[in-house]
Amino acid sequence: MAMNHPEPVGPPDEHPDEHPDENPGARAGERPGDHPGEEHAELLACGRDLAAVWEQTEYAGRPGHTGRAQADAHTLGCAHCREAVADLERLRTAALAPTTADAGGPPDASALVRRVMDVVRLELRPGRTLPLGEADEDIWMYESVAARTVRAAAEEVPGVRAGSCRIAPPGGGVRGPVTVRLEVTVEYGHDLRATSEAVRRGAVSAARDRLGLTVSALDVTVTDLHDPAHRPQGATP
Amino acid sequence: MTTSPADAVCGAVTDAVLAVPGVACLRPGLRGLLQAAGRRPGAVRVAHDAAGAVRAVHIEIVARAQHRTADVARAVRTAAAEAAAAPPAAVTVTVTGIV
Repeated sequence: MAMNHPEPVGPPDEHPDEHPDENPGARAGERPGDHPGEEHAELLACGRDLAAVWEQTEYAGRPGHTGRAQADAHTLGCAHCREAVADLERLRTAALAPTTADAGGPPDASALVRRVMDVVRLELRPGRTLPLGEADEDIWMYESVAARTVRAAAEEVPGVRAGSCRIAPPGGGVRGPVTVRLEVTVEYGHDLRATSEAVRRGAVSAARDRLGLTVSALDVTVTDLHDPAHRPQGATP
Repeated sequence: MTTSPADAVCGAVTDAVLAVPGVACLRPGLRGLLQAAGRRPGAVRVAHDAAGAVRAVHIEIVARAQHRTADVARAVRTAAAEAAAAPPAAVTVTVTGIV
């Protein structure tokens, strides 16, 4: 693990800033101002994107995937990349060990590896960020996290189940109010117009009061009607 | 064992951030789980300029649902700026989860 610093290249005790020209993108805390999503790329000390290195390993190790992203000379020779790949292998081993022991065989291993890689991808590419608070504040939140609050608020309206929820920043790296597109299904027998209006009010005020997210427009689309008799715990076949 | 100035700032910022009401934890990272204990977490990153002054601080936190998220993030920004002896404008806060 000794080489696994996310900091610029250099002997361990050397001050990072003595190499101002090396791997400018890999500087800790580097934040390209126009691309609020990009700082999430986790760069290795050699300048490679961790996500790319892991994906490369994943594809290279998968039978039948010879066309895409074979391990290249850099990855094979670079201590930082090899260390990152070793991390991934450790993660796999840790995740696989109990299953293999319990289930008495590796048939589920590939599915589990896929799930692990999904988690890894989600962490490394979490989606876009939304501006929080005022225009002059540099505070943000993940879209996925804000969407969960908005969906929960929608489901507080009787008869409503929330589906897809996309929240978009103003665009162009500008901070400002967001726009929300929310899809819901409504139980039969509810007034659609009144229900949609209640969803809209609930979602906008949740964004404002619970998150501090200013919404400029919120579209509610009723995509379907669902049966009131359906209950998740009522195990009728 | 010596602590580099960058580590010291990072540690001070981390302590300050975790003390803010409404902060549940720093962004938990898979890499953090894999790395040896004591290694600085990737959720607090400090960049210095050529003169050694703090140029930018980026912080990723998980906030508590009982608090208004923007208020927590704002308080984190203020606390981090103080801890890093940097202007608030140098600090970026991203909320990566709510629990």
